[in-house]
Amino acid sequence: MIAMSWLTRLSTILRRDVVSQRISEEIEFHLNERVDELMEQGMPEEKARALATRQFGNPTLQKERTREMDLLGWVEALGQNLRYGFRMLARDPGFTTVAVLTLALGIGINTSIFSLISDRLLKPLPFKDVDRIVMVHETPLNNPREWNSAAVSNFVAWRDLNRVFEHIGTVNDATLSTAEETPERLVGLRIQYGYLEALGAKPILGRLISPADCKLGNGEVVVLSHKLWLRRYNGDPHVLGKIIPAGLRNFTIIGVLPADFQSFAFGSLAPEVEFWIPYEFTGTHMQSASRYVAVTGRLKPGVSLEQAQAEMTRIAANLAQANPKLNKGWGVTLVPITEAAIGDARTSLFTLQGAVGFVLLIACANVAGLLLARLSSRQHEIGMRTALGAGRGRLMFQFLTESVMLSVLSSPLALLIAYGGIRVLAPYGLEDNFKNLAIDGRVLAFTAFLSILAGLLFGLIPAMQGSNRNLTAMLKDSGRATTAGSSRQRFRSFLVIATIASALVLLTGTGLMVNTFIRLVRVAPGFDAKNLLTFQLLLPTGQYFKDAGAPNGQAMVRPSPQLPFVFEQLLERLSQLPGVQSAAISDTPPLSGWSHGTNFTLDTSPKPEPSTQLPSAFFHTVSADFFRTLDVPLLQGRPFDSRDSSTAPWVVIVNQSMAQKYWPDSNPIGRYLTFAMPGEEQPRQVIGISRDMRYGRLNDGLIYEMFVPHTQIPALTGHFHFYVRKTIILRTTVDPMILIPAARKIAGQVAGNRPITDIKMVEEYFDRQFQNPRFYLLLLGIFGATALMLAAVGIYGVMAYSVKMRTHEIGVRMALGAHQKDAMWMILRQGLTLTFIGVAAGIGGAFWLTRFIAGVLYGIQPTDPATFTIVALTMIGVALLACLVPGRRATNVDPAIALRHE
Amino acid sequence: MARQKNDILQGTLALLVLKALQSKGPMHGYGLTTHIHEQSYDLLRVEEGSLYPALHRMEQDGWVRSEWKVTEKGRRARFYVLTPSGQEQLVRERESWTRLTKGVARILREA
Repeated sequence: MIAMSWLTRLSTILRRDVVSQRISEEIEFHLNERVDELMEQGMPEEKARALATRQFGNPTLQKERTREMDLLGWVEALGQNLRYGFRMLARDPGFTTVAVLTLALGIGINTSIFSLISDRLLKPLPFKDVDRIVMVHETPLNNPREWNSAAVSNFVAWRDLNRVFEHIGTVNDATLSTAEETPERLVGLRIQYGYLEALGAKPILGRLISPADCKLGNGEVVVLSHKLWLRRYNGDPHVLGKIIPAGLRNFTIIGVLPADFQSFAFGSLAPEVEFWIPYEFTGTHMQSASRYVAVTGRLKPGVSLEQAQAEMTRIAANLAQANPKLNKGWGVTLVPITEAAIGDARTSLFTLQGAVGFVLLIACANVAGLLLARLSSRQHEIGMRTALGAGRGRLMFQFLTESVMLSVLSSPLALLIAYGGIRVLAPYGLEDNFKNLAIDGRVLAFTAFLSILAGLLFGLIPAMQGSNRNLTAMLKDSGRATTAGSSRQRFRSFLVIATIASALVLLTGTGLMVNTFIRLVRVAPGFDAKNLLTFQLLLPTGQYFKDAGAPNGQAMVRPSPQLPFVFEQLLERLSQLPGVQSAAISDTPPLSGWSHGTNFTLDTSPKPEPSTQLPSAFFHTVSADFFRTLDVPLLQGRPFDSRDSSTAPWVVIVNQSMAQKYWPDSNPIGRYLTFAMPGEEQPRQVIGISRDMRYGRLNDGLIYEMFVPHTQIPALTGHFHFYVRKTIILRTTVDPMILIPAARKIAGQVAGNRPITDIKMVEEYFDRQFQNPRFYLLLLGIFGATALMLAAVGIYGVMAYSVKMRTHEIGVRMALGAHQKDAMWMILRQGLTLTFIGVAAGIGGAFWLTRFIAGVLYGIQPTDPATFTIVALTMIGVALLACLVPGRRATNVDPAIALRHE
Repeated sequence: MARQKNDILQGTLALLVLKALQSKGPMHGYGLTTHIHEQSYDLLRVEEGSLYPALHRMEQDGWVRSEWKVTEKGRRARFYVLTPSGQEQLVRERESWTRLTKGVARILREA
């Protein structure tokens, strides 16, 4: 029956004109009949018609009222509700201001975090038929979420055996420094044919990299990005065939890609890539057991992801059988490129969105509390409207209209807050990804959606309460607190508990981040990071490295004997600069986050059994004055010096932690270890033990570090080392920045006009180490403070209202001999009960939720008891303060007045 | 004409319409107003403006059906007929009306 009635209404809408017509006709008939009757009684027609019409009332109005029965009437009712709502909000500007501000804060904070998500997760990748592109990962059979790159031999087998990919290729990074008068450093990629095709690249000039180009020895061709083409060649249409000289090799330009093409490498878009060269696989590549090439494929038309996955799983199983040493326990997982692009960001971003979701919930709870309090003052109005025939639905509709109006009114302010938030947060960017943040259409839509949702969320319960037309209760309630009022108060209590619990969860997150930050700041790098200047020098392989043939089927280069002298001269001249205390060479700048690691064996055997699990440690190639420059003492043994030339026996200095770990009971000096690295021909003798420091990055806990003389580095596998990058470190007695021009000049003179890059003070690298924790601290700090403030306001509101409602009761108690402190205690007890319940719920929630920020914590457990305790006490303290003001008001109740209070 | 006390209370209009349709069979709107007026010995007057919205709503609720017919005078008019669910509704409305009047009467007696 109900369904039918709705159908009838629906059809009424569709036939609205028909209905309108019908009512007109009916009314006309009615009037005519009436006129007839009056004329029969002897009235002249004109007079009769006038009377009939007047008696009937306004026909247009009648039609309108009839139509209100239609669904379309709701639209008209909405208009009325809006007008009425505006009047109601304007009448109570205090309430409106507080509610709008609260909501704007909640929605604004959510919008700013959403703009992050929108930018990182929701923007489609700029590739044609992007849903056809997949990343092909090697994954352990027991954990398909652990995405690894592929071993070269496996990639080649996949390409040969599969029938599901239209194109499949692979990529690794490549940087080259041009061998020219003014050398230029270019960032690019080494690729196997199929990679660019898989991404849908179409050259605007020339061609892409072919299978033939990828054959060993054919790789001296290059495809240019549009940007590089414009910059280096002014968009010359005859650029094909020109040559980019790069030390040992010269690359012939074979193609140019369009401006809108971007590479995708290592899990994200790579707009900085300027060129692509062939990735030639040598024998070493093919035999390598390491998984280091990122494989990208485009599915053939008509092949589904599931089919492709099935085929690749089958191929992987065959490969595991054919080569168990490499592939036992390994499978293949296809991941759509869109998903691969999101990767780890998903967790951290959704954690943030979850955190700000709590802020919004608190804001909603507060406004809902305010609305409930306001209901009591609107009792009369509600009663009046009910008496005049407003139905329950209509009343609810009115209340919901008002609450959505509130949140929609707050949304411009929310956008302002979001915009400000983005501007403030941008410099603290997470992984430098904040630059393109903008409030676009999607963000606007989100804000609109959120504000309507929030309006419904906080408006629903008050609306249900308010439209509950229990006339008896309403009449009684207009006097003192009774049933309806106390049920409302119960609900407000629930809101306060929820607020406190949410605030506590956020505060716990903030507390953990504060702890992390304090611990991070306390971590000493182990050396004095002040007054250290570093820059990098790029040496092209052609000039300073000699072709060393291809002993194992792979081309090698070896540092020329002249190179150490160049370095020596460079360091000597740099250290003679006034204001420079000492100068040293390393491979990477201190605290830059970059460190090379290697496996090693604890003896002299150069070829360990491949199956054994080898220990590993970071290593740095450094010059003699390295330890003096960083001011790191050697605890035992000697530093490197001129004895440690390339022809002398190879040596190594290990750090304290490593010495204790591997030679716990004996003196490591004089012992040997051998790096498991290609080109390492001899074992290295330990000649010293250095005090522990954190050279690569701060938050690594206990780390093992080794240092070797830069003169004793192995031959390099040459085809993809177009340059050698060295870091120069200067310890200065003056402001390091003023030394830059002089250092640049010396480097130019000594090293043959090489560019120096990445000029930075070590303090800058040091500072960058705090970037992510600082960002989280800032965000969670803002969220936590907002939540605490809102929670305090919420508690205050409920308690103040409670005191007002209980004035009469308090008066009676005092008249019967209760003391002021009893009245105070009565209020405090009520407030504290709510607080304790909220805190208990919050601790439970935090216990479960803090695991999501475990990844950015340092030196502290997500369930750290001290943090939980402090946060709970803070919350209770703030709640107590919020109760004190209403409590004092209760003590000031004058029984004589209170008893007359109505 | 000023509103008088004999205007029909909101909510009771449906009861009166249903009752009229039950006892007199199909009727048009004008017929309903005169019927109620006469049957109540001129005590009750249907507020004419409320009648048509009420009829429209009752039709949507399924209590009445309607169709166009031609009257004795040759005018086209919409005639309303009680449906089975209208019958049931009449019983319900009648009961609640009786309860209401009894209650009100008692209160008046006590006062």
